[in-house]
Amino acid sequence: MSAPSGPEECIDALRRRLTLHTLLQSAMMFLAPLFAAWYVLFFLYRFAWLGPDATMTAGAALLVFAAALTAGRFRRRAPSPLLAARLIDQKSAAEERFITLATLGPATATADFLSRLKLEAATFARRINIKRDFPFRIDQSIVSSVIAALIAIILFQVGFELTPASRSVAPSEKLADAGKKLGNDPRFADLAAALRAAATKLDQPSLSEKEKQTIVTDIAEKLDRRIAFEKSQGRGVSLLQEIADDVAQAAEKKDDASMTLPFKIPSLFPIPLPWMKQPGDESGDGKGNSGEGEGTGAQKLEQKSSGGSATGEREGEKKSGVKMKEGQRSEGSEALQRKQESPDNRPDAQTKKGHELKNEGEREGQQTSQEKKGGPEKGEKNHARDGDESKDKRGGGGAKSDEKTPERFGEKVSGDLKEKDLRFVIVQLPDEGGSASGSREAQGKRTAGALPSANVPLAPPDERPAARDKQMLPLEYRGMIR
Amino acid sequence: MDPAEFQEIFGRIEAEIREVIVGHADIIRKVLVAFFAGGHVLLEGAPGLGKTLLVKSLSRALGLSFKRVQFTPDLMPADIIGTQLLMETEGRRDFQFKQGPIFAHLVLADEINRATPKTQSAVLEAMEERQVTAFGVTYRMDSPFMVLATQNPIELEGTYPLPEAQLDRFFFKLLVAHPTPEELMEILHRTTRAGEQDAAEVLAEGAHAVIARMQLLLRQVLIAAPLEEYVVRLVHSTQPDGDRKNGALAEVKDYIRYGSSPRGAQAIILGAKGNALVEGRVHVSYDDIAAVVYPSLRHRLILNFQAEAENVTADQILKAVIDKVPRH
Repeated sequence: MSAPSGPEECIDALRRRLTLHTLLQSAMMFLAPLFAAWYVLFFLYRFAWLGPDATMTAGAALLVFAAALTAGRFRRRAPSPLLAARLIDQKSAAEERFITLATLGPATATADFLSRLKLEAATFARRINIKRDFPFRIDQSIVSSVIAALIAIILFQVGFELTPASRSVAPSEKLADAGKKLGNDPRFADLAAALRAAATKLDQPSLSEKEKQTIVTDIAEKLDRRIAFEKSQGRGVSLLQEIADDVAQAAEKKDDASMTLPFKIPSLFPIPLPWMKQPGDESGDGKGNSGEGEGTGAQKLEQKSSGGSATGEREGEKKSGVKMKEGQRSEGSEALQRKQESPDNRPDAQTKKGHELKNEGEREGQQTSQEKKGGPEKGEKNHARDGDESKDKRGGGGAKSDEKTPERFGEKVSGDLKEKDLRFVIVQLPDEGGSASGSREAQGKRTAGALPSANVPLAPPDERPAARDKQMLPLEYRGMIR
Repeated sequence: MDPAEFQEIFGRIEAEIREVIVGHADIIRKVLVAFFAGGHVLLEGAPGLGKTLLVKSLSRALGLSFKRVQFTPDLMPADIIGTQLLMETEGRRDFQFKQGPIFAHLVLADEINRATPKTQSAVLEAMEERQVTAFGVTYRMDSPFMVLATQNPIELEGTYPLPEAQLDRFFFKLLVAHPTPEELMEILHRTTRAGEQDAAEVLAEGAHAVIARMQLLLRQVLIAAPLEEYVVRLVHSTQPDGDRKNGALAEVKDYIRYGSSPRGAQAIILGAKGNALVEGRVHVSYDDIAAVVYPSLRHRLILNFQAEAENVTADQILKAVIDKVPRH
């Protein structure tokens, strides 16, 4: 910018500069609130309260709104030549020479006086360096705006943490989505079809909860086998793994009354609140010892709120389905971790995880009831008793487990037995005959119904997990089990 | 005439008066500004402060005629304006108008508040209209014409306070303060020794024309619209009913019965223009306005009973007004 030669040029140059300043200040005034609003929007999008289209539309609307506010503020505060003249007068101590020049024209003033005033003003104008004397300054309103935006974000974050999640996605939707995903790859067309078919079945109102659970479990197993097969062929299984995780989570029921947050929010609170539960907190390391009955999983919050009915090991069980396959369990945990770390992490999936952990006790109770109907043998009661003792110690005497102590432990049983009360798993033998090699549906029904063909004690938790395929039992055990 | 010449002549006159009058520099300047702005001045101060001497010195320095009228309760309007006398001329007797002391360039109305209102009002027409009507005949005053009135703020017994209408006709009201010890010492030196000092004539020849050009030049001084708006805001804020939007200032509402008339704004603008010229500028600044607000408005504010009871002066209220009325 060249130095203005006369007073009028000086006034005009300053007016242009002030105009730019006003525009910048107006923009900065609404920039922080805009970013805050975008943050909230992105937050809602990331945790699936808003779809991508709605997010984009709302973001664009916010941008337009902020631009309109900026334009409105700029129009109100656009500097006039009078303001520029006044500022130059103040800066150069010109005693209102510039303001007089800016307001008086040749028609209203004597020519001699006007020319003399211009000469005097030019002297003062030479003292002015517009860039140096009128630098851009951050307005107080901008600072206030930034502070207000930060406060709004913090309040939003805090409010979000204190608000229970309420959104969840039905298992059928998850299966349908997974089917769509897999349908893009021709290699997995059969799996995609199976997923879609399962989703359709799940939508049927006539199906009972058990049947739905069986369907999902069956699909999960199918996916696991396919993953193992693809791995053995040396092919990539990332997509399959991801879908398998989704389906495994979909296999769990949701507990709408749960206060579990569906996603991991970096907590601002130094002290964990008793009603807050983070998915990350539930990923215990599974050090539950059935012999000692001690649980050291990192789920103290859960134990506090729900009576402490689950351990880390039990979480692993739930993640990998009803059947206790150690390999599947460990892979399920890893997949869960990968899922949490992945950028595409969506709350609905994590909600499922949280809820499935929460509902563990109930499902175990249901399965225990099934096992009870099937007539567990007496030799297995010791294991069951051990497991029950350990559960009692871990759970700190949860209300449900106290009421439903199995009869075989010499106590009166009231109500339905649960899976956790038995402490054994169902093992599907590889050669169970023609019916076992039939459809997966048949297997699912058998698993969910009264088909337990064998019970084996739980492996100690410190042992390495067995192969994730069906557990191969030594031949000499088969007869004993049958 | 250009502004520099105005400044030079003004400076010479001011210096000449200050040779006679010790102190009162501000009073001298403002009297001169009022003179070149075409206004009249009311000087308020105790006796013996040099008010009469100031006016006499001014008339001598300017080379103008000077008349002094001592206002007393029995003074009649005819004693000021003049009267018709039966005169015999060439064997014929007829009435001729004998001009009173008002017919002078500079008139000193000493202790003007001692005359009756009837007599005081006799000078109203002369001050405002620059003409006198006597016995149905209107007589024009010589130009320049200036009335300098004095009044004693102490001896109020037997006095007739000037009515608002007459007060409003004074361009400035100047308060003549007591001299400082140094000034008093100088006064003693000048007045108690042999020889008498008197002001010399600055404008000996063609004084009327020079003064007329100077008065014209003063009115050509530039003033920006925002400054005029500021003056309007100032004068308007002296009204107790105030601006309907913002309401009157608390001090104005509490202590003022009537605010300034538009003549107050005219006096401020013209006084500021004169001040600017004296300072060597051809445009008015806010400082020029601030310099003349008090003498222009203090006699135009009519205080109420509460203000008198609480000894609140017009200057105190004006200070609050100046402080609270924004310049921009």
